[in-house]
Amino acid sequence: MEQRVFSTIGKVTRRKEGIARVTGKEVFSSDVTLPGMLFARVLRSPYPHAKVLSVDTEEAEKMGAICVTPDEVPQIRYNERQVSIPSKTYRDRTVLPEVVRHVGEGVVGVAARTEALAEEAVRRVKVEWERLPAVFDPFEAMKEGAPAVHEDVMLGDVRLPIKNNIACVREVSEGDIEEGFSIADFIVEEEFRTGRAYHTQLETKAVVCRPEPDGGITVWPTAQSIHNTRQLLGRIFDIPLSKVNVVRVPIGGAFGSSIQMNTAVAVCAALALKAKRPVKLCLTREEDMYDHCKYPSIIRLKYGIKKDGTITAGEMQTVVDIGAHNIQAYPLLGCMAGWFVSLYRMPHMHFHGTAVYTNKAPACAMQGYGNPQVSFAVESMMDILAEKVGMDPVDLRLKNYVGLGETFWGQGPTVRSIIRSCGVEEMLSKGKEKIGWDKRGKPEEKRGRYRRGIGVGRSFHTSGTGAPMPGEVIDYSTAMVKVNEDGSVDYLTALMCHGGGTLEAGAKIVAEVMGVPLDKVGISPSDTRSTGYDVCTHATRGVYCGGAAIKKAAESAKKILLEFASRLLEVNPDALQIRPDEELGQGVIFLEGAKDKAITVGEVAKTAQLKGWGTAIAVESHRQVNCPPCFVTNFIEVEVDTETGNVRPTRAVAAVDAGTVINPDLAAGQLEGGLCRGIGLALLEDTDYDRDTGELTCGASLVDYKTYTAVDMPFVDDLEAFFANTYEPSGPFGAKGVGEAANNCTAGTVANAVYNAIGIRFKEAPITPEKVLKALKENGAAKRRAERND
Amino acid sequence: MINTRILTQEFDYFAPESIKQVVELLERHGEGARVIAGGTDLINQMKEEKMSPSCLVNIMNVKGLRYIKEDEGLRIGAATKLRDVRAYCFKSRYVALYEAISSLGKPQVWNMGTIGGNLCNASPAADTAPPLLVFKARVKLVGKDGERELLLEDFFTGVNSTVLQPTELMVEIHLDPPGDGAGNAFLKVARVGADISKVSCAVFLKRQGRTCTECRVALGAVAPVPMRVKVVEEMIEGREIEESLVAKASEIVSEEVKPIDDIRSSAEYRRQVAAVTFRDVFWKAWDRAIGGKN
Amino acid sequence: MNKRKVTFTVNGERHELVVEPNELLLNVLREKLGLTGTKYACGKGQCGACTVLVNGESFLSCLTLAVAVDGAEIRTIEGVAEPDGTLDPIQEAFLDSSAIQCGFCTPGMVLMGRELLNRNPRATEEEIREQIKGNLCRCTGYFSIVRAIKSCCEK
Ligand SMILES: Cc1cc2nc3c(=O)[nH]c(=O)nc-3n(C[C@H](O)[C@H](O)[C@H](O)COP(=O)(O)OP(=O)(O)OC[C@H]3O[C@@H](n4cnc5c(N)ncnc54)[C@H](O)[C@@H]3O)c2cc1C
Ligand code: FES
Ligand code: FES
Repeated sequence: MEQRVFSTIGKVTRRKEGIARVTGKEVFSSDVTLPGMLFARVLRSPYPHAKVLSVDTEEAEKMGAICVTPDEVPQIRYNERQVSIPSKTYRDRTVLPEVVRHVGEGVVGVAARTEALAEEAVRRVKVEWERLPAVFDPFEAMKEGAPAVHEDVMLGDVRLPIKNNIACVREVSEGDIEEGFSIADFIVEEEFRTGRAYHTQLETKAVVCRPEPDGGITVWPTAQSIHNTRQLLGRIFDIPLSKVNVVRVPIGGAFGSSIQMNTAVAVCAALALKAKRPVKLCLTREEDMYDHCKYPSIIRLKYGIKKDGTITAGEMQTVVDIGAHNIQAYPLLGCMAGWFVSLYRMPHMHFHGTAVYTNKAPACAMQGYGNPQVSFAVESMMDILAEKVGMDPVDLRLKNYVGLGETFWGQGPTVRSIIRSCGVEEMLSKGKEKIGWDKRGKPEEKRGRYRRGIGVGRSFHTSGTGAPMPGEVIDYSTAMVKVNEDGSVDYLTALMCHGGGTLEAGAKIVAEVMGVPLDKVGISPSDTRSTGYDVCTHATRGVYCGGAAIKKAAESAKKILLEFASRLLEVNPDALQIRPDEELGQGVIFLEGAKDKAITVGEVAKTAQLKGWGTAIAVESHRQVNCPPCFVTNFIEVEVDTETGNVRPTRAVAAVDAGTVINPDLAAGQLEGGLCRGIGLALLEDTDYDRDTGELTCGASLVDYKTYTAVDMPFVDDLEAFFANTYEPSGPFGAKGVGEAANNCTAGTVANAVYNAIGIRFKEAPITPEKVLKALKENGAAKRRAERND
Repeated sequence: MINTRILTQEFDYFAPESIKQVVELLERHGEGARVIAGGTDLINQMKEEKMSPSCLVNIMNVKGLRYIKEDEGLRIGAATKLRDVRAYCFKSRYVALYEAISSLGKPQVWNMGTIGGNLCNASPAADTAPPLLVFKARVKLVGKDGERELLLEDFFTGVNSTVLQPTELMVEIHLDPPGDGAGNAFLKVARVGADISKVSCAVFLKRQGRTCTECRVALGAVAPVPMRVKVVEEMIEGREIEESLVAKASEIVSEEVKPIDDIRSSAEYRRQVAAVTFRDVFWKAWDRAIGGKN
Repeated sequence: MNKRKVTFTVNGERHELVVEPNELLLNVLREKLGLTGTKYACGKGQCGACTVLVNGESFLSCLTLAVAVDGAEIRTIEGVAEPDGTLDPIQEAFLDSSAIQCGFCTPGMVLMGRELLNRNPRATEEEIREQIKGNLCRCTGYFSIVRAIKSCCEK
């Protein structure tokens, strides 16, 4: 039955982690300090591609430093991210490699008493390199005779030779694509590109490792999944998992950057095991920028459409420049196909994706996992198609979007489910009104130096990666809930909060189920030793998947609790309910209509303890068999300065269909943050590499890798976030996710707004002032030519 | 790879209290010695290992280096913090300097950084330089051989290089009094808030009715040093101001600048936008000059 | 290097320390005084995560030599609340406006808010944005942070 009236869910409350964070008491991994701890530094490759011929650590060791070199660490090839089943996992890296494949790849770890000493020591390590030719462009890389980034990799346990630097390929077809184009009235084909943005999570990655006397190790890493980190460390260093304890530490922003076990973790663990002392390694911003980035995209997109606006066929070809390591390109390509298929109905479709190695920092998931890239192309294209058939862009979307009752690919072709909640129409129609869509005007009617335009864009993200069938992707969570003797409740999971409020949502779910006030629910510190498996907080799965496991555990604990209460109240447990009593600061168990049949949760728990009945405690693992789409819609107004090419976002409406919204203010915060990052992807962010040195042209620092600041955003009253009124039958209390969805459609929306302002279609993000000004100039010249010819 | 978490260089440190002591310390420690004021440029450069002084002489405790006073124009001590200069120039006759500092970095940088540091660092994009150039600023330097004063225009010699001798320090910046009927303004174009300029421009002018009797134009980030554009000034001075004249002048600005391609922008873009920025700033200054008020 | 003795107060407490000239205030606070609320996130003055108040003015501790703040009064995020734990109104506002996501920018943001309110309790939204323009937040898009500070300003 749908529960839609809640005591705790949906209420705006102060988040539990808040106090520690406003007072500076929160302990992030870089803040962890242990007695006797050493500090580590890593010697990194100055070259984009080179062989390590020899390493001489003598001078460093003379200073008392501990060093680990490639031949001292296990040469097991691993993939830092374990979410696919082993036979679909590409493994191409080692803790410290003998061949470096991008500038900044670590080769020697050094630990000393202070960071300054470690720095001095690392500078005394001598490495003899043999430079190898490098390749930076994915198309160059695919040519015969291009330098090989990898000779071979492991796919599962099989050695896989790599040809022409192609890391993996994925092709998906449905229907008959030729047929689909042949019945179209128009065929439109365009190429779109998005940049290699950098996550810029505010905390650079850090880790502390403590070797334990029993041969084990305890780790405090920057990580989105403690169990992933544990499994990998256990395997690489051959330690039983029972002796590898990875502690959950708050993370200073993630956005996908720590979805894998960070390279720093393995190096630090190797140092700690050798030094037999705790070791801390904190990356500099420069190192962090060479560690990962967003998957860039080059997408050729072709649609067939009828005059009435019905899409008949769609074809997408993409080349993804993954950099030096294949972290998760195979599932990425599948997902890109899935995003493409699940945005707009296409009876006939074809997808072809190629992931290519180059000698650059490896790309990994970054908010949306290919979705902002696909949505940039598709949403731009929807506006192009709308113009072609003479329809309003919103109407074209309404006509073709994949919605209620239709099949949706949550994580590529192998993860399919049916959509059971959908707020697309509501968001489009309300959004239109809020932004003033009908008054936006046509580009050719706009005059003057500053021109405003409004764009629309929509997208979605999957809530988790669950599906009816096991598939290739691992997805489940585990939670423990227990009732304390004073009526408060602890809950424990390995779930991670990246800041968006995942753990807060978990607490609200527990409070709701248990009928206790929210402030009596505690979020227990968590580590791999005390928790059951949780795949990762990724794929917008925290609330929908993790929350569902928490709900299940709470329900089980509640059942035990009510059974205890039934003994005291002499009432059948099924007839009992619990409600929060703010005055008592407790949950009260009661029988409806019977005043004398009531007792506090605390009294029940205490009595159960005294009488030796036990603790109301439950552990549950849970896999969702769906991964419903959380839909998003943006309407954004921009102002283009036609003389400087500067594009400024002036107003925005951002909406999400997250089902039941558990933390309204935090969900709105997700939309706001996603908007800002999405605008960055649209207008500002990218990285490039010097072809000679292989170095980042931005100098790997925030001086020249820019993200937006407060003054670049619209004023607070010019932004409106709202939620669609939906209920997801398969979600905990009707909830779906928000997370990644929040930024998926933004870049496309901005491109559409720019078009509406100046009538120029930009297909390559970021749309920098330099590009805008150039295009305006060319456009002006073309117009003048046309006028002359008239 | 550099380590921005710490300072790896080792150096001696002194915090003298008089200009004389500063000069003595600089002389004693020779080439490796370096003045440090707010350190917002210098510490960054040391972290980047572009600079490794063996001795730092902090001038923030030196008496008589931090002041702002009106005395035949405006006199500013070289170690005066940007925040103080900004506050003084707000709604003053030197509003361009207020605008420049407001756009320079961010509040923390105004609290730490000094006006002398901005000039002595000699970045082509130093934001206080264009307004100071159009105010015909002179800078006073003190060294072991005594004191000298020169026009700011003659101070910069290239990217991060100036006429300063190793044993010299800047002590004062002296701006011309603007006089009646004057207007001035500054604008900059950058990627985001709190960013280094792609292009910056300051204009100082005087008007009598529709005639511009005096005009000075300076731009930043478009040449190895912040530059005056004298041909444009000459073109405008003594003329009646019309849209077409300013448009023509802006084209000349475009031709005169010598920008480069870098990570922040392209030479082509800078050339075009220098013209636009000049035009915007010119009109702003022109409007402000009405009745001699700002 | 000539080690030096420096004396300063941090959050009202006097400290006498011997430091090398090349030690940064950021690291002295974090490592010598255990005040890890002040964060490193860029080391180049770009992000504002390392902001502390020096004699009431916001400074970037990653670019500040510890020797250069000899004699100063320093306030870090740990010293914004009253010693008895009573939160400052700006901290309350951050909690009430949900202006905290991952919380890594929060110490710097709170201190910038505090500095602004000290200087100008009637700050406008424009002034608030200018005040925090050098403090990066990757999570919030700044909206909730601006709202939080705004809610503390007198109309
Ligand atoms: C985050 C950030 C943003 C910034 N944004 C901008 C910006 O937008 N625009 C801009 O122009 N700058 C910017 N800067 C650069 C810098 O803050 C300014 O140039 C500042 O004015 C430098 O002053 P300072 O006192 O800190 O100089 P310091 O770093 O102390 O010194 C700079 C140089 O000048 C020398 N020096 C200083 N004072 C004297 C003196 N009196 N006599 C002789 N030599 C001296 C030093 O030896 C050193 O070489 C930014 C810096 C940061 C960290
Ligand atoms: S760490 Fe100091 S400003 Fe970023
Ligand atoms: S809350 Fe994460 S950086 Fe601001």
